[in-house]
Amino acid sequence: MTDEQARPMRVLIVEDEPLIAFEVEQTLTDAGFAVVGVAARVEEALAIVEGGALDAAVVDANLNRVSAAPIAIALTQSGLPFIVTTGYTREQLPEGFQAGTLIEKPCLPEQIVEALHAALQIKREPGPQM
Amino acid sequence: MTSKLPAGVADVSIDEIMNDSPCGFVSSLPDGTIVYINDTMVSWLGQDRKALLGGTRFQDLLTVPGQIFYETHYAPMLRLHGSVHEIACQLKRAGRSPFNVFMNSHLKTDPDGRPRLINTIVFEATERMHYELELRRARSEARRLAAIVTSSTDAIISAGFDGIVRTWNPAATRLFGYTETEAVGRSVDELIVPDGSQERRLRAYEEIRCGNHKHISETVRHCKDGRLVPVEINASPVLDADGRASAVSVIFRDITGHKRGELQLRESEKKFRATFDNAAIGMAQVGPDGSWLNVNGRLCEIIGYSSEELLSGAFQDITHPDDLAADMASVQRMLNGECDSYSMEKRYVHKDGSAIWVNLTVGCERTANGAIDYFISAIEDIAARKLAEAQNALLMAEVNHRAKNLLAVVQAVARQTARSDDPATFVERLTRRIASLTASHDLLVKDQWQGVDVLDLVQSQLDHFRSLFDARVSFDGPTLRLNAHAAQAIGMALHELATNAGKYGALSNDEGRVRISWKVSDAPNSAFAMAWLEENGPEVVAPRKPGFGQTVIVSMAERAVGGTADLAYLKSGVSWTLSAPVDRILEGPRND
Repeated sequence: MTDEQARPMRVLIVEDEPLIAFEVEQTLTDAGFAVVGVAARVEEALAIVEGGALDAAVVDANLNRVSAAPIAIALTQSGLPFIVTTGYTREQLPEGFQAGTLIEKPCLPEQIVEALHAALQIKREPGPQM
Repeated sequence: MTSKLPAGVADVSIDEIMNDSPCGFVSSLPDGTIVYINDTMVSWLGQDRKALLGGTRFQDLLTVPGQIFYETHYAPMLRLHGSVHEIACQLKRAGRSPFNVFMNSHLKTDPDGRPRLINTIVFEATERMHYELELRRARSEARRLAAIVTSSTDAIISAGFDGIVRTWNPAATRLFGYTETEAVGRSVDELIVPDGSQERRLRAYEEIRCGNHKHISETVRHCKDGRLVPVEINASPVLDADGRASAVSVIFRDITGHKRGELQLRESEKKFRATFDNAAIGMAQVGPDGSWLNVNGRLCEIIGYSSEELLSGAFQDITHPDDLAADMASVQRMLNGECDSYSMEKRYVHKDGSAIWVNLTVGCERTANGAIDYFISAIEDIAARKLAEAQNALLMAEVNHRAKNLLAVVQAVARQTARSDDPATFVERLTRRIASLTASHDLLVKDQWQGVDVLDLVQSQLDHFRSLFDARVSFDGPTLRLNAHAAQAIGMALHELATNAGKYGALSNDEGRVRISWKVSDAPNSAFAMAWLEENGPEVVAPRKPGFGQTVIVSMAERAVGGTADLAYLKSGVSWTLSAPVDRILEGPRND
C-alpha cells in the first residue's frame, strides 16, 4: 500500500438498511477507506459507479425487494472489485454477482474490511508471484 | 353224386353244377381225408387238386385257430347232431391272407349208424361280414346320434315339410314345455311358432326343401305356458338315401342367458363409461405404442386438447421433452414385464404451449400371453400443488433472508448501543431497542408484509405510555400504510424519541404533552410529513455529544425514506419533523 497511502481507497456502500449502512460506513472510515457514497437504490448506485471516482464497492444483493444485480454487473464491467453482503445463500442469488466476494449476513463489519483488503490486493497484484 | 335231373338238363352233369357253383363243396371221410373237392374251393385255396385229393385232411385247410376250433367244437358237434350250420372260419391260402368263410357240414352214416362221409358246403363270408360290420357301425352311429340328440342341451326336433313334428328331444320338452308324446304328430305352427310368424316359417321350410341351411340368430318361440322365449335357430334338411330332403331338423338354442348377460354387460359398460367420463381426474387407455385409445373429459380439460385431437396422436406428442425419457423408460419396463404399474410426476405441454404438472399413475391390462394389451393411465393435475410448493420455497427463502437481515440490524443496534452507552445501561438500552424492532416486526407480520398502519405503528412504539394516551399523548392523521422499510426506520425513530421524552422530556414530568401528527400533502408534489411535538415538559437542552439515538432519529430516518428530518430542542420541548416523497414511504396498492 506504500504508493497508495497518499490517497485512501474509495468505496461505495450499497445498502437499503440505513442502520447497517451506517455501521459499515463507520467501520470503513475507521479502517482508512473513503466512503464516497451510500446508495439505497439501484439508480443512485449506478450513477456513482458511472461517475468513476471509485476503487471498490460493498453491495447488498437485495434492496428493499429489488435485485442489486445491475450494480454488480456494472461493477464487473468496470473491473472494480466488490463485496456482496446478503441474507441469501450463493445458490439463491440471481445471475450477475459471480465476480463479487460473498459475505452472508449477519456479519461483522470487520469481515467486510478484510474482504475489501483482500479484493483490492488481488486487483493490484494480478497473477501469482513466484 | 347220383340223382335225377329235370328233363332237358340231363346233359348237364352234377359235376358241372358243382364246379360252377359260387360256393365251395368238399366231401371227406370221418378222419378228414378229402375225397371230393369242387373247382370253386380249389380256386379259393389256390392249391393243386391232385395234392388236395392225395391225403390232405379237411381240417388241414383251416388256419391254426380254425383247426383248434374244428377239433374241439366243430367235429364233436357234427358227430353229436349230424350237422352244423353257418360256422365262421378261416381258410389258409397259399401266399395270401386267410379267406373268411361260413361252413355248413352234414354227416352221412351207414345203415348201422356209423359215420361214413362228411359233406361240407363253404360260403364266402367276406362280403357278408363287411355288410354286418357296416350295419353294426351304422347302428352304433345311430345310437350315438340318438344319445347326442337326447342329451343335448339344445332343443332338437325334426318335422316334415308339412310342419308336423316327427321327433322331439328332452331339451325341447324342457324349453317349450310339451312332452315328446304331446308334440309328435302336431304342427310346429300350432305348438311353438308365434302368431304371425307362420308365413315366415313356411318360407324357411321351402328354402330348406331346396337343400339350404337356415340360421336365425335371434327370434322368439312360444312355450306351452304362453311365455315367449328368445332363441337362436339352426335348421337343416334331413336327406334320405337318395340325397333328397325328406324332413327338416331344427335346433333351438335358448339365448335368455345371453340376452341377460348382454344387458348386464351393456349396463356395466354404461356405468364404467359414466365413471370414466365424469372422473375428477384425467383418465385414459393408451396402446402399447403410446397412442391414445380412450380419453376422458377431465384429461382434455387438463391439457387443453379435444378428445378428437388427442385420439389421433400419442402421449409422446404432448409429453414435455424433459420428462419423455423417464416416462418411456417406465413404459419399457412394463412392456418387458418387469412391473405392472408406475407412478411419476411429469409435465405435459398444454395446447397453449404452457407446461402442466401432473401426477401420472399407469397400470395395464395384459393379453393371455402376457403382452401389454393397453395401458390405463390416471392423470392428476398437480399444478396448484406445484405452484404452492414453488411459492412455499420462495417464501422460505424470503423468510430466511428477512430473518438474517433483521439479525444484521439487531447486530448493528447492539454495536452502536455499545459504542455510546456505558456498560451499566447497555443491556437496558439494547433490550428496549430490540423490543422496538420486534413491535414493528409484529405489525409487519400481522399484515403479511403488506405495510403497517401509521397509527398502529405510533401506538405500538409508545406502548410504554399507553395510560397517557389521549390525555397527554395525542395522535392525529389519516389512515395511511407505511411500507415495511419505512415502518422499521420510523418505528425506531419514534422509539428513541419516546425514550428521550420519558427520560428528559415532556413525558418525564406530570403535565407534559406529546402531539404526534401525520399527513399527505396534495398533488402534484405529494409528500408525506410527520411531526413529533412536545410541550409543557421540563426545559430541554441539546445533548453535548449526539448519541446513537439522535443518529437514528435524524440521519437513519432520512436515509431510510429518502427525505429530510429535523430535530430541534425548543424551549417548549423537543420538536421532530420528517418529510419524504410518498412513493418512498407509503405501501403501494395491496397485492392480495
